[in-house]
Parts: sequence; C-alpha cells; structure tokens
Amino acid sequence: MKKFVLIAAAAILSILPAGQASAAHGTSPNGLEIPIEKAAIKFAADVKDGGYKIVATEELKKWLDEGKKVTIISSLPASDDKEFGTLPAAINGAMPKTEKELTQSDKANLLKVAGPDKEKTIVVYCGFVACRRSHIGAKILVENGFLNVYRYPAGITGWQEMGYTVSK
Amino acid sequence: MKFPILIALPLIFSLFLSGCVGKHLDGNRVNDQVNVFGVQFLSDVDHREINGIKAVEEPCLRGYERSFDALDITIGYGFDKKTRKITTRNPATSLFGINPGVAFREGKQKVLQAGFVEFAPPFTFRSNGYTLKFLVDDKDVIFGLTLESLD
Repeated sequence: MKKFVLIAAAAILSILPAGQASAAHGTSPNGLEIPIEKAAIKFAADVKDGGYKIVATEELKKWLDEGKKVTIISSLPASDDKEFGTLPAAINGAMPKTEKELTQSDKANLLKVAGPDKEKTIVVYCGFVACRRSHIGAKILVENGFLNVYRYPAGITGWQEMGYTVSK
Repeated sequence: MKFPILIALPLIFSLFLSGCVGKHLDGNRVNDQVNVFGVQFLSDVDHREINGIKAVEEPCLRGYERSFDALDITIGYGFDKKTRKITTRNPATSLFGINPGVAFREGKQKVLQAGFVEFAPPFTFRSNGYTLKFLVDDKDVIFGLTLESLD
C-alpha cells in the first residue's frame, strides 16, 4: 500500500509540470486567449477608425519621467476615478461606453477639458484594453482638429499592474 | 424575557442607522419604478437572453455589462452578480415613469417629484444610494436613461 502511494504521488508530480507548461503558452501566462483575441480585433478596428496614435504603458511612463508636456484625460466616469485613482495629473473627460450613449454634453465637456491648443500632446485612457471610452474620446478630439492625440489602451488597470503611482 | 428585548432593540436601531434596513426597503421601492423588460435593480437574476435577444457581454471596472442592442438596453452587474446599472434607450420602457423620447424639462420635473435631487447638473440626479442620468440630445430630448447604484 505504501509503495502504491509513493508511485501515485510520483506520477502526479511528473504530470503537474507538463500540465502547467501546456496552460502557460499563449499571449498571457494566465491563458484567456479568446477574450484577448476579441479585444485585439475590436482595438485594431477602433484605431483604424479613430485616426489617433497609441502609446504603451512603458512609453507613457518614460514620457512622464522625462517631463514631457502631456495632457492626460481619463475618460472614465468621475466616480471610477475617485475609487480607482487616476494617472498622474489626469483630468476627467468622461465618455460613455458606446457611441449610442454619447451626448452633446459629453462632447462639449471633453473639448473644454482638452483646451484650445490643438498641437499639444493629449493622451486619453480608460479602464483596460477592451474599454472603448478612450477610443470614443480620442476620436472626438481628432475629429475636432487636435493633431497629437494618443490612446493609452491598458488604462488604469495596466498602470496599476505595473505598480506605477496613481493619484487619488 | 426582558434581556433579549434589551439586546434586540439597539440592534434594530443600529441597523437603521447603518442603512442596512432602509436600503433594502428602498431597493424594493425602486423596482416599482423600473419598467425595463422585467429587469429588476439590485437583483441576482442572470439575464443572458431577453425576448429572444442574446446579450453581448463586456467587462467593466466594477463587474460586467450585458448589452441587448436590438432592445436598446444594457444591464450592468457587479462582481456580486447583482444588477447595479440599467441603461435604456427604448421608448417602450421607463424608469420612474420617464420614457426615452420625452423632453428633458418633463423628465426633470418627474425625477424631482420622485424624490431625486440634482447631483451632477444638469443631467444627473441622485436619491438614496443610486443615480439617474439622462442622456439628452441637442434638441433637449431624453434619448436614454441610466439608473446606477452608487455602491
């Protein structure tokens, strides 16, 4: 009996690393390839449609560390900014989740917080890659003549995941 | 027998003070005013299909949302799987007696009569633990409404 238990334990231990290895391949070590694909397809279509540029987490952090002048706009609801915090010095220009819920008031507020300088660098973000609020905001800015509009896809989730400071 | 009463009364009183009892009653009262395909606010009913329309699910920071585009409604769920947000753009539905398609002035009058106060003027109103936001077009017509829990 003792021998059987030892053999069984050894067999399970030999299987575990192989199982882990097969679960670890893919875009993320946690798997979830299908939601990642879904978000990636939507993201690619939105970027093409929006006419803005994109900036990744580390590049944006580098800009801020170098003191580059950037206007950062959070397109999350103000209540989310309050609860989850914001990127450093971010101002709120809340956008809806879909174009169908966009109002003139949302647009007017965004253009007001963006200010009159159409050449400055503006970064718009929201919650995470699959969140489309930042796409809606960045697209509106491009349509209104802003020349250097970036969308930061990873948003507050990516920023926090990297351990970077948030303002509350 | 006196001892349990002495314990029970302060306990009930403290529940009222903490809002536990009040909020529960209030949630029921809210649902009397929600007329959106039988969807109930703060309920744990898992709506994946309504009237034959399948939902498209999207993540959000506070949980997830299910959109029923053909019905012009979206239901937001918290991580506790309870409905915490209802958005409707469907004129056949209503929240607090306000249908999408009515003038903002009329909607505002109704929402104030229902006991809401202005929260983020001019289009967002607040009552006990929840907000009601009007989506208003450039002709001052309410084309949608969002009821959302503040928790």
